[in-house]
Amino acid sequence: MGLSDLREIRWNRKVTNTKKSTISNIGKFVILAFILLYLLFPLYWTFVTSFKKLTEVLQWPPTLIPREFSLSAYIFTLINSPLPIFIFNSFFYATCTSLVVVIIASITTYGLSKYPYLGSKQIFMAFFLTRIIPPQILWLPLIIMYTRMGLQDTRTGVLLFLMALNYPLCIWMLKGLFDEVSDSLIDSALIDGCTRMRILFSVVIPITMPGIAAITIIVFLWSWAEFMFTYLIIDTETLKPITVGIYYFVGDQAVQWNNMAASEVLSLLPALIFIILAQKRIVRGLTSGAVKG
Amino acid sequence: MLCTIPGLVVVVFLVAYPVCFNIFTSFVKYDNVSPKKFIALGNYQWLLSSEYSDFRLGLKISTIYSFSCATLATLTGLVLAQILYSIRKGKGFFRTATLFSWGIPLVIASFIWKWIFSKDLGILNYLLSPFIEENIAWLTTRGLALLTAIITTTWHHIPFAMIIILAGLESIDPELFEAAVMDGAGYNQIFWSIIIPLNRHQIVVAFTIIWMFTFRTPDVLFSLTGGGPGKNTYHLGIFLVDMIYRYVDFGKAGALGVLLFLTTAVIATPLLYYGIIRPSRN
Repeated sequence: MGLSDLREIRWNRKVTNTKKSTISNIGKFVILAFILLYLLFPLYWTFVTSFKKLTEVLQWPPTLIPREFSLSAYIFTLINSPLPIFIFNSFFYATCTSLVVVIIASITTYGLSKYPYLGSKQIFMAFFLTRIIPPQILWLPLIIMYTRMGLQDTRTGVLLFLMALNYPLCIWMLKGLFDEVSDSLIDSALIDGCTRMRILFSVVIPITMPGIAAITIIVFLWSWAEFMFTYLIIDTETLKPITVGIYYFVGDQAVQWNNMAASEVLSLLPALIFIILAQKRIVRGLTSGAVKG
Repeated sequence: MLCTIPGLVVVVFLVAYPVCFNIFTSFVKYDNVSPKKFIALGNYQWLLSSEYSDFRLGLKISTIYSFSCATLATLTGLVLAQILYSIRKGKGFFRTATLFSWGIPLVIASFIWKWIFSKDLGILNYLLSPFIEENIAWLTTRGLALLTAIITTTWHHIPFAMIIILAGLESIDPELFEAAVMDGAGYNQIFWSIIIPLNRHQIVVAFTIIWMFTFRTPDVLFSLTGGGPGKNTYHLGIFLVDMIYRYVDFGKAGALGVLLFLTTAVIATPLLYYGIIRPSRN
């Protein structure tokens, strides 16, 4: 009996009762369809709205498929609004954070995971505990510190906060990955005369590359999504990431929902692309970060 | 051992020091008007006495909001994980399709849903129009506003719960199911005596992480309803922002931060210990 058959059987009360199994199968797909509708309809609706003209958006009843396919919202957001700057900023913040955090965290995790010393377990625990510290408790002290240090309303300020936020989480995810690298591999590299740092960059990282790439993507998406702190410290229009900049489309009067939808589409594209390309790896990275010790 | 140093620098300067600084601030009268003065627990007293502050209101709303989101997301995630586990065809497609909402920033998600919930032009009111007499103002009606926020936040967190529980399901030895089916166990029996007990850690972890996140993150409420109508969705996080920027009272904001931290720690630490640390030792 194959594994997939067994999975199928789980859903049937009795193996022989085929009638019941079709019913439970239908029930299963109805529930799945409902959940998928809940999860995907908002995305569909955003895409549809972004291809409508403003006149059509403001009509009642709303149309489920655009009557007239139009790119006017995209033309407006990409040419007549500061949206490209916001997207560039988001890319800048997210790329810098994910690369720097993953590199520093790899070095830390490598040391802790492969060369344990007295207290290294406790240090791991400490990194884990930072997860319980709400990022909100950092808002006030960082704002006061930034004001004194002149980092208020600067790119550095945003980057430092993002790094502080993601670094411990990244260590936790990397630990699961590095623990799987066999010690004998490292030993043989040591015998061949590699220095310990060299081993990290030419043995450990290449072996775990797919996993590291996934973790980089996760950190990228988390940094891309950060909102509140950036909203509080950034005033200059040209320094805003997309999550803060999207408020540009919330005017004093009515919101132009087609332009809003177009900018939403543009800002969720990276997530969409990464998830389509690397779904399995992202899932593995997330689970190793959340569940494994 | 040297490898730990760059990391420790980050953590000490950007996490540990600010947290200590915050705790220190919470004992000081620090409002940019009067000179700084040590007032021990004065700020906490002010927050906890219900006459002047919105702390209790915020705590109530944060609690309702976070527990509803975490429960709904975990339950839906559990159901979804089981369905996806049993699907043979199109496995990759379904797993990818159900992951999207996790990757979308909460602020963007709020604006997506804000448009769906819109009173005059919203698609939700249109789809419900056969059943309702006039359009519902989802975002500005008492009670409904919090519900919209819960729907939006749950939407974002379902994939995360699903991923964690699915990983747990896949680590169960399939022979267990085989044995159970051979012994004539029904689906309900399998669910309650195999799936739930063997997945209890994953379920607890998913719940706790989502709960922690929603308890302290006001992003959705901030951009979806702005705390309104009135103060019907006044999350503690919004209160904190108001404390820092509107009232510019850093002492009280510090105390609020500490209380937020303590509440999270008291509830989340035992759950995380149960879900992650204890199982990883065995």
